[in-house]
Amino acid sequence: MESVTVTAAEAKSHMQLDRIASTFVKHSFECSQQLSAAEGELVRLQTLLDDAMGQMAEAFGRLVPGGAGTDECASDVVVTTLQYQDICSQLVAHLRERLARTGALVNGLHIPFEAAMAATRGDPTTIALASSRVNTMEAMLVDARRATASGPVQQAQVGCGDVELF
Amino acid sequence: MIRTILAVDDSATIRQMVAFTLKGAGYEVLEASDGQDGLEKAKGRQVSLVLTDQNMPRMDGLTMIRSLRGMPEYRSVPILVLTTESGQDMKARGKAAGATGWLVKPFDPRRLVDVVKKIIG
Repeated sequence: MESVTVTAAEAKSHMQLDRIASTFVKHSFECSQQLSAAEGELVRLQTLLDDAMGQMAEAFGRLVPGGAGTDECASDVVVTTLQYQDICSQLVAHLRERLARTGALVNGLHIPFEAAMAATRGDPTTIALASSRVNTMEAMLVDARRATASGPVQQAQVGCGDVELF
Repeated sequence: MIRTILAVDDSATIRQMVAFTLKGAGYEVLEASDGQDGLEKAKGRQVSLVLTDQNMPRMDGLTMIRSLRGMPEYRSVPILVLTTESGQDMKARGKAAGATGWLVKPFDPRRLVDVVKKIIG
């Protein structure tokens, strides 16, 4: 059986390639997770808008003279549902932040490939530079996760919020 | 004597809904569009209660509360946070900043009036 001798430089290159491949996989997975979360937020946004508009239309019918009977509570419903404009705006802002960060991650997906090519060439300076860029990508990944972990809007359906006095 | 409430929110719709609700209950409502504007409007005025959003441009609600608590005339004025944020961590931060209470949007108009009446009469 033929024995294979691996030099220290080759071993280092292999380690670099493993790390670069791992970074690429993590980034691809994160992009997929972020897009899936964005899709969920869009569905939630649509549900909130549909519910709010439905309730408002129903209340409007009770406020209009000649409508299905006037009701003094109808104005309360209008006041409550109009607040969903603000809630939906905040959800849209959070969604835009998520998509912007996902876009930045997608735009950086070429970096591991460049780094891999540098590693196969074996030039220490180029490898060090590529390694630094991969570090930057990993930092971007952590930032993206932290910034989008929890949004300012947790509401999933139309309803009044809690009150807590300290 | 008519009591004045300072309503701070970057959403014009929310400010309009708060003003509509509280004016209907007999209060005077002063509006501000963010924390910075809220601080400027609060200075030199006798405000009975402050109702503020948390997420706002220029200055958020909790930063404004800390600044207000540093002003002698606002040390004991009730400050309620009205926000979409409902997490316990944020509520704890609000309490530490000096908030009197935490209301999650959307608010129920009758409940808001009840809470305000309970606090300032």
